[in-house]
Amino acid sequence: MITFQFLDWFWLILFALLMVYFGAYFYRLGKRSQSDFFLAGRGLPWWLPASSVYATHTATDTPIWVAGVVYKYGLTGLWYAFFSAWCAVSAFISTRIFRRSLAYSQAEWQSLRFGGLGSELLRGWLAGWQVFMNMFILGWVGIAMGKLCNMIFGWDLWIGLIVFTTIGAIYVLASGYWGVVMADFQQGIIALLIIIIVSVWGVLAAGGPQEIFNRLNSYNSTAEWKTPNINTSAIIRIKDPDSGKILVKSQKFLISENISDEKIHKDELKIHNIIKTKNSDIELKILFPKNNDILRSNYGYKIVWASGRTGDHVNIDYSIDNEKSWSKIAVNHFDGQAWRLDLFSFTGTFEGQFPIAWFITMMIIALIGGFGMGTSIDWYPEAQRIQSAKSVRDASYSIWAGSALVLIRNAIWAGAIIGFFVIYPGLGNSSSYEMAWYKIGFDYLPVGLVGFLFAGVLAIHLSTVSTHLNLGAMYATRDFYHHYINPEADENKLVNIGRLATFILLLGSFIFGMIIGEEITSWLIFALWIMAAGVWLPNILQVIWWRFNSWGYLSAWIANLGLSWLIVWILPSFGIIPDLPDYLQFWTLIFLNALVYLPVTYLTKPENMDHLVEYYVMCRPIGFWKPVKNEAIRKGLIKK
Amino acid sequence: MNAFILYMVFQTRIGHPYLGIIIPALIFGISFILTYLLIRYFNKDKS
Repeated sequence: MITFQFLDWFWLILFALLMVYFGAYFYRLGKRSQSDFFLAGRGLPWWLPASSVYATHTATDTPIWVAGVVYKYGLTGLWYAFFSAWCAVSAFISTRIFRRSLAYSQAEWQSLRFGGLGSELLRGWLAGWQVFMNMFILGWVGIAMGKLCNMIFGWDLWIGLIVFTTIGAIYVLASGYWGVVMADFQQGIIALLIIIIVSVWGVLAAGGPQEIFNRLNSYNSTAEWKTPNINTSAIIRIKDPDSGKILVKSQKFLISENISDEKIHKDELKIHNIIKTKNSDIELKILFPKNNDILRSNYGYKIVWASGRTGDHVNIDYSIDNEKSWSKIAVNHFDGQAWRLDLFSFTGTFEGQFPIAWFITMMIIALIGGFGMGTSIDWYPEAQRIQSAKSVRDASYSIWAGSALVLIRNAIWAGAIIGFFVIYPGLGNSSSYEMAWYKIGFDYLPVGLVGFLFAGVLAIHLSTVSTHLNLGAMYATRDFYHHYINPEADENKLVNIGRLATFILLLGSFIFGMIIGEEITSWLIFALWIMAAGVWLPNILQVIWWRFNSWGYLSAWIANLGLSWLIVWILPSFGIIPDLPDYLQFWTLIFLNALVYLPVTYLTKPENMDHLVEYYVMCRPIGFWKPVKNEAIRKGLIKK
Repeated sequence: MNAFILYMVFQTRIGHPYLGIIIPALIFGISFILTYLLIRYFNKDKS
């Protein structure tokens, strides 16, 4: 736990008051109309939604999972967060198309793009899904805050979850999107500056850039291994991946479930030292684990071997049946630690922890995804910012600039995480090293700056929860209440319904937060990557292909919900298919889903041509729209 | 959490204690001024 001094509390309380007051200051503007409560009257210059894009996508869980991937994969791990680059393309394509539509939400845009019963079903479905997703996101960022407060103050998880999300709800309930976007501007500045400060401190704590480079070149080699969930003896071997020759075997060691936390702490301290101590023996040795070691079952460790005695890559296996059979720990794993500073440390075309096939998949997701709408779950908050900009051009600039800041932020974070690795290289358990960025800040910043760091964390947290509270409320109000229940509702009534929906989302997020608990990274990778996979291509097709219809899109969504669980969890657990790497899960889902929505699209009628012409004239989509364009020209609605 | 107790063993604060006053005060000042300018911008915009 950390003891806050008077100066820490002083800064924390001062910044918290400033943020909440500023958010609530726009109360009078927020209550004027539905358009003000959810889109700030569509009159914002580009730099305001841009700062909101940046602030929203910097949440308390973001440094946790960026630390997780950078600690584990080195700088290469930054590519995990590269999907945000879809905005670079979207800013000039789908952002412009969406802004021209004047729809409040993605669900409303789809009712302009599609028509008839399918469109109505789709709008209801997407609105419901978005209310659920926003509640879920609020739960996961809230529990990340709970986890952090548990680490800092020793509070139970639920306290951090409830207290700090509720603070954000105060100004969202008062001012709606006006409060969100104005507070985001201020919170974005605070968050960016504290991220830079902690990263500078992290690099300094590790001895500076040159020292980091030198130490990574001198450390022994490591590979992460989660021990099997069994009491047994085990042995590890290292092989040459090209020749298959066994280079070295470890001594026999034990795996037991009866290992205390204190023993784990002592072992981690020992592993830090083993990694840092240069081995003078010429022969290759496995330095950890050895025959006196007892490892905890189902726990992450670092295997350590003397670096510079193998080729560039090694394969690592373990056996728990006296060498009768072997299971993989790592394939084509790097020798030494210098690879951590290489952005392109591939482990093969398809093999190992970072294959080229994975990288290509991420590039496609990031760059081609920008042609569509909803290809990333970030699209939905972005869509609100696009519509709040005062012109199509402002919308483009805001999305581009906000996302550029997000990518720059990740790179700044990575500096602190690499510094953390140099100081504590022996952690193999993800829940320990995921907190790296926070630990650097709370361990090394002087008194006063620690309180400011927590104020920065609060800024990060408030910016995200305020966005998702308002966004979820917008879907509930605009796409459910106003569209289906009370189309005649006046502006005052709609604003009040928006506030009621905000409050319900707040309560729902507490329940989700407690369900998610501590397994943050695995939930995030599933939600960000796999759940979006099957609808990734339909999300592009709806923008660029006139023939794609609402039934095709709806069937893709429903099929994906089932298929993603089947491919990721259910079929592998029954041994029907192997555990696929995430990029293969992505392509498998793309292919299987296409087998559903393409036949559905062709077996159902195209959307009504008049409806499509109306949409085309308003939004001017790019891609395969020739029949619709010709019809619009024939009607004299656009020039040839 | 477990490993955090271990980290405290290594804990060493870096930088002069005055930085805990100067840096947050500077950022608070920047944040306050920009906030004020933003409010003025929208008040002017409204009128």
